Order: sequence, then C-alpha cells, then structure tokens
Amino acid sequence: MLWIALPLHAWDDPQRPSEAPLALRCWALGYTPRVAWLDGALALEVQASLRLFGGRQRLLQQIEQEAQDWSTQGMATAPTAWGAVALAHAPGQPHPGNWPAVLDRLPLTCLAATRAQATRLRLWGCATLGDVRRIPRDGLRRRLPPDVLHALDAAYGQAHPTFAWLSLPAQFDQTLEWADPVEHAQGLWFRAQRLLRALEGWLRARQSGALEIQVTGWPEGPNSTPALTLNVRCTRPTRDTSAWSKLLGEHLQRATLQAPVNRLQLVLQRWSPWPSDSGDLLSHPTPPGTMDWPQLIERLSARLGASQVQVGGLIDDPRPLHGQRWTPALDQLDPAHKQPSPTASRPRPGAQWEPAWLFDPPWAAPKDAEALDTPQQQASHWWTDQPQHHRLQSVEHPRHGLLWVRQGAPSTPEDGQVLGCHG
Amino acid sequence: MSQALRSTAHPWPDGPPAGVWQADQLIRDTVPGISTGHAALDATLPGGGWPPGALTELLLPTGQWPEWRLCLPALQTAAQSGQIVLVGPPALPNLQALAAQGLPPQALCQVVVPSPQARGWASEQALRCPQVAAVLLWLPAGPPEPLRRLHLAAQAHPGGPLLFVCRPQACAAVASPAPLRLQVHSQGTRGLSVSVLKRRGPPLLAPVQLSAPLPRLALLRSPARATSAQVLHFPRSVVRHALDRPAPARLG
Repeated sequence: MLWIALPLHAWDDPQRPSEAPLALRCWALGYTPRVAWLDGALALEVQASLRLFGGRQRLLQQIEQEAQDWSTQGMATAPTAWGAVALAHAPGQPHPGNWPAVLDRLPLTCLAATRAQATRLRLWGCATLGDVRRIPRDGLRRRLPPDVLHALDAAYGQAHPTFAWLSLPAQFDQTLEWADPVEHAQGLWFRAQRLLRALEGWLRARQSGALEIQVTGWPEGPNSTPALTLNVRCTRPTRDTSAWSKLLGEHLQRATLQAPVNRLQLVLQRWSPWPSDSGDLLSHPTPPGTMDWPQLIERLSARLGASQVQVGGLIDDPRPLHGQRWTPALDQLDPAHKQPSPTASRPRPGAQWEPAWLFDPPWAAPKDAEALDTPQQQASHWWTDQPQHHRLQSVEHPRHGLLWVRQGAPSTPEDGQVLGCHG
Repeated sequence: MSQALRSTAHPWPDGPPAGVWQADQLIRDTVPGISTGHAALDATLPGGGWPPGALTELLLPTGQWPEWRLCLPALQTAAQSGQIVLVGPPALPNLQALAAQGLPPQALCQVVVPSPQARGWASEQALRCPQVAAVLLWLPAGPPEPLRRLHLAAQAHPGGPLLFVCRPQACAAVASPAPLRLQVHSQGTRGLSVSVLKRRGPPLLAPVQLSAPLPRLALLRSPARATSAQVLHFPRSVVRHALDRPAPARLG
C-alpha cells in the first residue's frame, strides 16, 4: 500500500470537519477511488494507480505539482494512512531511515490521537511517538482512552482502521466566487481553470467524458440574472482540462458580459462513458501542432460560430436551387444534435451538366448574352398544389463565361434570372 | 584561366544543391506535384503538378469564377484522401454538379466568414489537420502579409494539403510569397488561359491554353445536336422523377 498525505489546512472547514470541498474531492478522486479526509489532510491510497499514471515517481511528481494549486504544505508518503498523515504534519522533519523507525522520531502533535493527550503523555516523560510505544501497553490501556492505542497501532500498520471514503455527487454543478468583479469575458477564462480541473477529476472518477458543459457568470447580488451563459460542446467525450479550456477560450473571445461577474458556475450538461482503450500495442499520438478533423471543426465552430462552418448534403429535389442543404458541421459530428435530413445518396439526373457555382438569390438578367441551346423544360411538384415549371438555358456571356439562366414568362422577375455559372 | 571559366560554367558537376535551380530550367529536386488534370499545365509546373504543402496563388478577373474548372481534376484526387475545406467561397458550390463530377458532398466543408483575418485564421487551422487534403481560400485584394503566414503554415507539413488562394487580378502587381502564381482567364466556351506569373524556373512568356472542357459544352457540341435531335439518356436506375410521360424520341 502506498498512501500519500497532503496537509491542506486552508481547506479545513471547522463547521464540517470531516468533509473536503467538492473541487478538492474531484481532483483527488481523479487519481484513485480511495481518498479520505483525515485530520486536516487528504490521504490518497495510490498503489493500484501507479501503472496508470506512469509509475511511482511520475505520479508523485504530478500530484505534488498539482497540489500546489491547493496551497498545500508539503507531501508525505507512507505505507499506512495515519503514518502518512503524521509525517505530513511534521514539516521540516528529516524523513530518512527505515519504516517504522521514522515514525518513532515524530513529536506527539503529529498524530491527532496523541495530540489530544499530549499534556498527559509529556508528564510521563514522552516526547515522541516512539516514547509512547516503549511504555508497557497494559498500563497505557488502563490510563488512556482506547482510541489512542488503536490510532497508534493503525499508524504503525498493526491495526486496520476504517475510513470514511470521500465520494462525489451524482451531478457536477460547481460555483466559484471571488471578491473583485470581472468586467471582461476573457477575464473569466483564468477563473474557469479551477472549475475545469475539478470537472476533469469528477469525470475521471466516474470513468466518463464530457460532451457539453454550461458556463454561467453571475453578477453580485442574490436575485440577479446571469450576465453570461455559454454552452460549450464537444463532439467526442472529452475530459482533458486543456482541451476544454481551449474551447472555452474561443467562446469567451466572442462573448460579452451583461454586468460585472463575481461568481462562475459550471454545470455538466451531458456526458458519456469514457471509451475504453483500443488495446492497440502501438500508440498513435497526434503529432505536436496538429489536430484531427473533429478537433478542427470544434475549434473553427467555437471561434467563428457553429453556423459558419458547414457541411453539405444532397436533397432529392429537381428544382435548381433546392438540390442541397448546408448544415453546421458540428451538428453532423455530434450524434445528439445530428438531424436526419432527407439526403440523397446520388446526385439528381443530369447533374453533371449543371454549373459548379450557384447564385442564391439569383442574379438579374444579364445583357448581351448569347444563347447556346434551346431551353430545357422541367416540371416538378405536379403532384402538389403548386406545380413548378422551369425552363433552363445555357447562355454565353462575354465577361462571365457560361451561365445558367432561367426562362420564365416574359416581363416577370423570373425571366432571365441567372442561377449559376460554369466559370 | 580556362579552368576558372570551366568551373564557372559548371559550378556543380553533380547538379545544383537542394533548393537551387538553373535559371533556364525548372527546379528538379522538388516534391512531385499532384497532376492538374491538364497536360499542358502539368508540363509548365515544377514537379509536374500542383505543389502539395505549398501555397498556390490564383489571380482571377472580377466577375469570373473559373476555380472549379481549373482545380476540379486535382480536387477529385484530393477528395479520395481527405477533406476539402472551402474558406469564404464567392458563391454557393453546387453540390449536385460537384457530386456528379466526382467530389462527394461528405468530402466538402465550407467556412463562410466575411472578414479576411478570420478566413486566414481558419485556413491556417485547417492546414494543421492531417485529414485535410486541400484548402481553397478566397481573399480580397490586400497586403501580402497573410499569405506569408499561410505559406509558412503550409510548409510546416511537407507533402501536406494543397493550398489554393484565389485573389483578384489587381494583386498581380504586388509581390507575393507564393512559390507559384497563376493568372487565370476564362475564355468562356473556348477554355481557360493560364499565365504563369511566378514559378521555380524560367518565366513563361506566353499563357497556356487549356481546353478545360465542361460537360455542358460536350453535350452542346455532341453530334446528336448536329442532327437537331437531342435525347437525354439517363440510366434507368437513376431516374426517380417522372418529368413527363414517356414519349417516343423524334429522330431525324
């Protein structure tokens, strides 16, 4: 067993002594499901997670680095939970030597159970945990509350303590508050990082990936209306903080705040189970500086607007300008938003003779164009109340080249409209 | 003295080093190009086609849109290997016609933004995606700085996507970082006239004439028209609209 203890007094809530804040829980539970809040420190049992995170050294480095965001004071590792917590509460103590000889040298204040009895133990001439253990146990058992000996045994690995494991709520909905109101939407990006990291931990602990998040900025005041509401979505389950923060950054660039914001709320709208690894022995990482197609669409849609990035589909309609439909590319990639459209798998008959460019709305009739063929007549929708007739003709224009022109009844606006251009 | 002359005449007995070419010849050690589909044009381009992973600038007269006519054969090849991204097209691409000519709609994606900065940014992002096989960008007349950025972005992935930047003809007078600059004139039914303004090789004095046949023209010029009887034969499996009741074709 490998326990890591992180003393986090800044997050110690005297009202609820046995509970860590949600963001902290999310972060820690992203590493291991066995996390407990012990005596103002977070204790994580990470033995089973070592391989997943690239070995003991890399995992410890990563946790130590990320824990700095939580203003932790040092970090300790030990084979037992209470041993790690005791070591963590003794900053500046050199930790060399064999286990459990290290524990023997720790002062009485390091362990919650002995701290409560420190005055009495000092009178008996004990200064360290080792001194207490050298006193005959029978005498100790009679003079001290039973939990002190049990806690001491647990720290040395001679008893099996029970832990109140930390858990996560079923829904991710978290709010961050700060003192100085932020006036620009871009200023929220930095504040959102902590929420996104918490989200990553929540998703990791639940073995899932997020598809859509909602970010709401609240102005000061109890009954205020949101100053900003953003729905950010991904086409694939994603839990990487950097991917979400990039997407959110693009959205914030285009957003404006209705009022200065001092509260940010992040709600996870949709998520799906994390796809299991392919089991492929060879990894296929994307080369640095590149992105794959869904990422590209997400990025372009986030910055330019989802409706500006479009993919097209054919529609089985003989009318010249109604043979295609362009829809947001993001919707086509996202199974939840994909709309079943009446797409045709093959182009309509005669499409190979149509021009490559269409003008919608059509142009006015061109002058001095020379007709190249007799009008070709099309009738469609004769089975409905509004039958449509089209007479289409190819004309050559000295400047614009080969055009596709609609012939209607004389002196109607439809007559001579240019529908397309061959180039 | 004679030896010095000889060494000036043949400075590189094994041919010039990479990136250097004789002024009267096309650069030889370049990435093989993707055939343009027009043999006359292939013969004038270094690498024998459109250069992948490099910027190709097309200068077009106002009121003409010969892009598809010129690029369609190469785009058909590109569509088989990846996506084609159209950034700021001047009109609506006719998916029916393009699909009939070998560009499936799934391979096309268009980005409709008016601002030239946003268009440049979108193209730069698209160049970073390995699944993108070609990027067509339409830019208004303006300073060549955005082109420099795009050229660097395209170069970052050798053998990467094709990049065509279509700009108005007025830009021809201003220098451009594009290694290949073509001025394209549509001559209507007679084809396209392409002047190579800049290439890695000697300047080309006369424009190249491309027939660039259009299916529509082929139909108009078919022998059936000469006999004034024009019957459009559709494969029976494709017809899903009854346009009229079947009538016997008038022949002769």
